[in-house]
Amino acid sequence: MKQKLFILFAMTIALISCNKKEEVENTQQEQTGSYVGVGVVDGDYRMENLKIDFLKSDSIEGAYQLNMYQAQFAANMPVKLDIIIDGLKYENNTLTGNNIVPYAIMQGVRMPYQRYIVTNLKFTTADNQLKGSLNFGLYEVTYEGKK
Amino acid sequence: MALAVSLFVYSEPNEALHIDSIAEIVVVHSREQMLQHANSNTPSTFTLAQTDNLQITSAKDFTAFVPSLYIPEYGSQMTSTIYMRGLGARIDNPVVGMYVDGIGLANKNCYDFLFLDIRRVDVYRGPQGTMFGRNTIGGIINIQTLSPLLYQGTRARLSYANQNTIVAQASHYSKIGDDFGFALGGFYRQTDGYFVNVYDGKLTDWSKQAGAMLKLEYQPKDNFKLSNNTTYNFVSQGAFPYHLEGQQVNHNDFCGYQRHNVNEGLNMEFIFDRLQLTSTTTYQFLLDKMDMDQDYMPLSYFTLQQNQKEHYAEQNFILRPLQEHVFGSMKWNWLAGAMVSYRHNTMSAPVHFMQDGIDSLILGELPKEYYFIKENNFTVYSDFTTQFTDAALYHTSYFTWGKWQLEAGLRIDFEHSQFDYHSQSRFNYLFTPLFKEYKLLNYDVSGRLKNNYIEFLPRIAVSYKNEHWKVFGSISEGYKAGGYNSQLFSDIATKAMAGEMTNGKQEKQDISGVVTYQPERCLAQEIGAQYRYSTDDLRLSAELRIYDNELFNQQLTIFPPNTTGRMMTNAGRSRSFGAELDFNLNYKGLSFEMAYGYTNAKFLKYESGSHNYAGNVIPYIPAHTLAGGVAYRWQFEHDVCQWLSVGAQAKMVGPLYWDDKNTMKQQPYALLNANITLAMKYVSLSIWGQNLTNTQYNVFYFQSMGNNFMQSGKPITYGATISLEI
Repeated sequence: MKQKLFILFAMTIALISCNKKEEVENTQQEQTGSYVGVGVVDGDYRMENLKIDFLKSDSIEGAYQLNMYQAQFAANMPVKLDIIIDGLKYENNTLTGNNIVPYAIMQGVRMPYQRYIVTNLKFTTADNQLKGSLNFGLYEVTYEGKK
Repeated sequence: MALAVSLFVYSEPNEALHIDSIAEIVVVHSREQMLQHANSNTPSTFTLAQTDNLQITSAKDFTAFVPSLYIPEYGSQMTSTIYMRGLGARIDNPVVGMYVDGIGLANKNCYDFLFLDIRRVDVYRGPQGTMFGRNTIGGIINIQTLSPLLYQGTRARLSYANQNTIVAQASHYSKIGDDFGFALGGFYRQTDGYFVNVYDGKLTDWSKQAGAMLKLEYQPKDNFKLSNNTTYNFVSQGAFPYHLEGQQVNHNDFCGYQRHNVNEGLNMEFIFDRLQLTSTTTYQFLLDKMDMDQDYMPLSYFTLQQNQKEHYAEQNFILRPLQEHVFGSMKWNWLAGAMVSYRHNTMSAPVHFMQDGIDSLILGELPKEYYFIKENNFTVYSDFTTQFTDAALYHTSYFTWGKWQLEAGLRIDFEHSQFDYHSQSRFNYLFTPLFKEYKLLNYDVSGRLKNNYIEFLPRIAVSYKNEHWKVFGSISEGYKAGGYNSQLFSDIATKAMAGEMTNGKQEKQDISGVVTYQPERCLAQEIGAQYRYSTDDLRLSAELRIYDNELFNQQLTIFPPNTTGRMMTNAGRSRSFGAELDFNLNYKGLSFEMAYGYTNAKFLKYESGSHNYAGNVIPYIPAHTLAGGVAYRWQFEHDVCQWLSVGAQAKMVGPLYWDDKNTMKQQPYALLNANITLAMKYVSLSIWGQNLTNTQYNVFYFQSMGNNFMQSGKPITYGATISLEI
C-alpha cells in the first residue's frame, strides 16, 4: 500500500513536473511572435518602429531565430535590410547567441553577412516584451519592443 | 573671449573732411539716402581712409570691426559665409546682402572680391527686408565707390608681401566739361599661398585675381543724372586646403576654383517738379567652376566638379519727394519702390567615383564576396536649371515731430521658382548568387519642380534724437529665400543605386520632398542709444544696442526617421539675442576705436531625425567679437614729408562650436595687425603686418566619411605698399 502510494505520489510529482515543463514551454512558446519597438545603435542612433519576429528556427532543430525587418544601423546608410539571426538558444525566457553569422535578404536571396557577425546576443522575454542587446559587427545595438 | 585691439591711423580733421565729406555729397542712391534719414537704422561706417588704415581689402576683413559680424576666410572665393547677430547660412542663399553703388549682388559666390577705390562702406545690422527684400535678414553691406564727377585724379598702388603676394592697382578719374565724368581702373593680385599639400609638397592655396572697372557719369541738367558702372572680376585659385584634425593638408586630386563675373549697372535719376524718380537696371553674369577632391585625402575615393553659369537681370524704380511734406509740426518723408528680377542658373555637377570610393562607398556595406562592379570608375552626372522670378512693391514713411521720428514700412515680395533636374549614371554589377554575368545598373531621374511664395515684410521703428543723444527701437521682419538643395542629389543617387543592388529595384523617391526648402523668416527687435559730441579738436561717439532675433521655419538638412538619406526641411526654430557696443574717440592726432558684440544663439527646435538639438548653441557663430585700437599721427610742416602715422589692430573672435551636437569647440583667438605709413606730397609708403603673433587657429570644421576635417587660419603675413595719388 505504501509502495502504491509512493508510486502514485511519484507519478503525481512527475506529472506536475511535466505539466510545469509544458507550462514553461507553453509560456516560452507564447513569447514568440512579432514585436515592434526601438533599436538604439551605439547609444546614439535610434531605429524607431523596428519590427522583430521572434520565431522557432526554420532550419535548425531546437533553435530559435530573430528576424529584423528594414533595419538601418546608421542615419546615412542608404538602404534598409531584412536580417535573420538564426541558431539562438532559448531557455528560461532568455535568448542567447554568440559568434553567429547573420543573414541579409538581398535581391530575395538569403545571404550570409559575415561582415556583421553577431556576438553577445542576450534578449529576455516577459509580459509580451522583448528586451535585449547584441553586437552587430562593431555596432552595439539595444532593443525594447512590445507585441 | 576675443578681444580686438586695433590701432589705426586717423587723419587730421581737415584732411579727413577731404575724404569724408565726399560721403555727404557724392551721388548717393535713393534707398541709401533714405536710410541716412532713418534715425533708428544707423550703420557702422568705414571711409576710404579707414579701410586703408584697417587694412580692409575685401568684405572678409570686416570681421569684428562691425560688432557681431563674422566672415571666416575658408574654402575658396566662392565661399562667402556671413554670420551676423547669430544668423548665417552655408548653403545657397545668404543672410546679408551686398550692394555696390546701389546694385545688389545677386549671387553670394561673387561677394568675395578685391576692393578698388572704395569711398565708403556702410554695414547695416538687422533685417533690411522692407527696403532691400530677400536674403537680408542679417543686414546689408553697402559699398560706394569714388565718383568721377566729384573726384578727379590718378591713383595707383603696388604692394608686395610674403609668400610672393603681389597687389597692383591703378585707376584714373577725369571730367570732360562739367557734365561728364569717367573712371577707368584695374587690379591684379597673386599669391603663392600659405598651406602645403604634403602629398605633392606644393602650396595648395595659390591664387591669381584680376579685374577692371569702367564708370561713366553724366549730368547735363540739374534734373537728370546718369551713371553706368561696369566691372569684371576674374579669379583662379587652388582651394579647399582642408586637413584631418592634427595633420597637414594631404590630398591627391586637384582642388580649385575659377570665376568670371561681369556686373553692369545703370542708374538714372529724373527730377519732376517735387519728385525724384530713380531707375536702376542691372545685368550680372557669373561663370564659375569648382573642382574638389571630395574625400580630402590621398585616396582615390571621389571627386566633384561644379560648373555654373548664371544670368541675372533686375529693374528697380524708386520714387521719393525732394523735400519733406510739412503738416503743422509734423514732417513726412517717404519712399516707394517697385522691383522685378529674373535669374537663370545652369549647373552641372558630376561626381566621379574611383576604385577606393567604389569599394568603400558603393560596395562598402555589401558582402564583397558576392558583389562586384566591373568598372574601376564611373560618374554620376547631375544637371540643373534653376529659374527665379521675383517682383516686389515697397513703401517706407518717416514721420517726424520735433525730436521724435516714427518709421513705418511694408514690402510685398512675390517669388516664382522653377527647378529642372536630370541625374544619371550607369555601371555594370554582378551578384553571384543570382547573376551569371554582369548586369547594367541604369540610374536616370529627371523632372521639374515649381514653387510660388509671397512674403510680407513690415518694419516699425521709433526714435528720439537731440543734439548729442539718440535712442531708438525697432521691430522688423525679413526672410531668406527658399530654393532647392542640389547637393542632396548625391543621396538620391546613392539610395537608388544601393536599392537596386540590394533589393533588385530602384524605389521611387519623393525628390521634391528631399530637395525643396521654403523661405525662413526672421522677426527682429532692437533697442539702442547713441551719443555723439564734437569740437574742433575732439570727436566722440558711442553706441549701445540690444537685439533679439527669432528665426521661424528654419532651413535644415536632416535624416528623417524611418527613411534613408538626407532631406531639406523647414522644421527648425532658433533664437539669438545679444548686445553690441561701438566706441570712437578722436582727439587731435590721437584716436581710439572699439567694437564689441555678444551673441547668444541657440536652437529652440531642431530634430535631425536621429538627435534632438533643441537648446544647443548654433554652430559657426562666435559668442564674442571684439576689435579696438589706438593710433597716433604726427603732422609735419614740410614740403616732402607731410605726416607719419603708427597704427596697430587686434581682433578677437570666439568661442564657437563647430557642430550641432556642441562637442567640437574653437576656443577664442586673437590676431594682431600693425602698420606704419609715411606720407609725402604724392606718394606714401606703408609697412604692415597681419597676425603678427602667428596665432594658430581654425576657421572651418566639418565631418566627412567619419573623419574630422579642419581649415587653419592664415599665418603671419607682412609686406610693404607704395601708393601714388595725383
